Amino acid sequence: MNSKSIITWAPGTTGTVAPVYSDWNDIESVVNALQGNAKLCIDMTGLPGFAQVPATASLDGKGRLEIVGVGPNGEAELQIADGGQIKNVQTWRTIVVRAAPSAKPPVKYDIDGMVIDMFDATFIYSAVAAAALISVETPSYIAMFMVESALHNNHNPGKPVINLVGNVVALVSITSNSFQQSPTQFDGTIGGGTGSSLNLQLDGSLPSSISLPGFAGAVTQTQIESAQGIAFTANAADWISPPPSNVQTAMQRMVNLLKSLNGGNPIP
Amino acid sequence: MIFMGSPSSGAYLILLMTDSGLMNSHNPGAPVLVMGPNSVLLMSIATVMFPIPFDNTIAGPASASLELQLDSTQPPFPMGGFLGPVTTTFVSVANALGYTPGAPGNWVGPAPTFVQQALDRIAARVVTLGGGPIP
Repeated sequence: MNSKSIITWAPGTTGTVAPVYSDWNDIESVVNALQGNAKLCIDMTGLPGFAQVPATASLDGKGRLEIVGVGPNGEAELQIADGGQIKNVQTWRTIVVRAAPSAKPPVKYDIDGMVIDMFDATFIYSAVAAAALISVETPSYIAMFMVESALHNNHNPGKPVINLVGNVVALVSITSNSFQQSPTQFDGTIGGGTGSSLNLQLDGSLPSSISLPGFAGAVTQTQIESAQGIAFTANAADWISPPPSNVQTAMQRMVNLLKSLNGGNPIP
Repeated sequence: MIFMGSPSSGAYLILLMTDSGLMNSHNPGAPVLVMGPNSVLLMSIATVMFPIPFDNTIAGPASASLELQLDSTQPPFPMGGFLGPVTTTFVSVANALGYTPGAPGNWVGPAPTFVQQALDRIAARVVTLGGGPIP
């Protein structure tokens, strides 16, 4: 069976036995030896507050590493000290990543063609900072699938959380935005230069437009849900049979009639 | 090509596709998924990001049947090569879709909060204005 190795970082605990480690340096050694082919569980059972990733951290997930919060309550928080960096993580799950970086972005992607999955992953500035939390750098074409996940710059207003550096092409989908702080929370959270391009795909849990004043490249934004795919149960008496069965058809038929009632003029 | 079902005994299969696609872009018109005789397939397609058309990617004989469950990211699509019965159900419904009126003053009393309510109220008013059911 070809499966990933499961290792656990449990900072603050003592007497750990592999594959559980309390020292971040051991985690880096093991992940490097596995070429990133690992599921790294963050267990904060022995630790109040955030798990502190040191300023010396230099972990490369090589496009394979998963980082998952596991304990004690199913979600874990990482605080990455300025200077520390975690690269090319494939999956982030039930995790909060917090930093106030200046020396370098604490999360970085530089593998061309990477597909990144996020589920219940939150990236949040802990304070005003000069560097972005997540940097995507050339040569890079990336696809990022964010489900129940969030980018927050409320502690660093206006600063992009993700920054596309150089001629990066990023496909970013954001869906199932439940239990989030604000419908406009993604405003201003993605930045990039004129050579970068961003293809945003949003479902109905996000507002139809996200403001990205810090992004100078080309943006394509698509709502992936359509009125044609939403069922509508009509009051049959209001409609000449057959009544519409989806929102698109219901609206189109009413619009046609309204235009007619409006003297054939378009609806204002 | 994916073949589903046994020609002799048929098959009952469930296929749940999330963020997934069937592509015949390099083989236009050819089905990607072919169902066998007497096979029954329940197929759900959801959360289609970066959409790839499913047009004409499913085929099967008249004895095969297909029950499609689509969310609002995937509109119905043509299946010229599928000759059996197809039942299509939308799993996203208007009475679960929130609506925030852009102009609350357009509504008497509490404004609708769901698309279903908004459409029903508009339809009722249109019926009154039009003097009969909506064509």
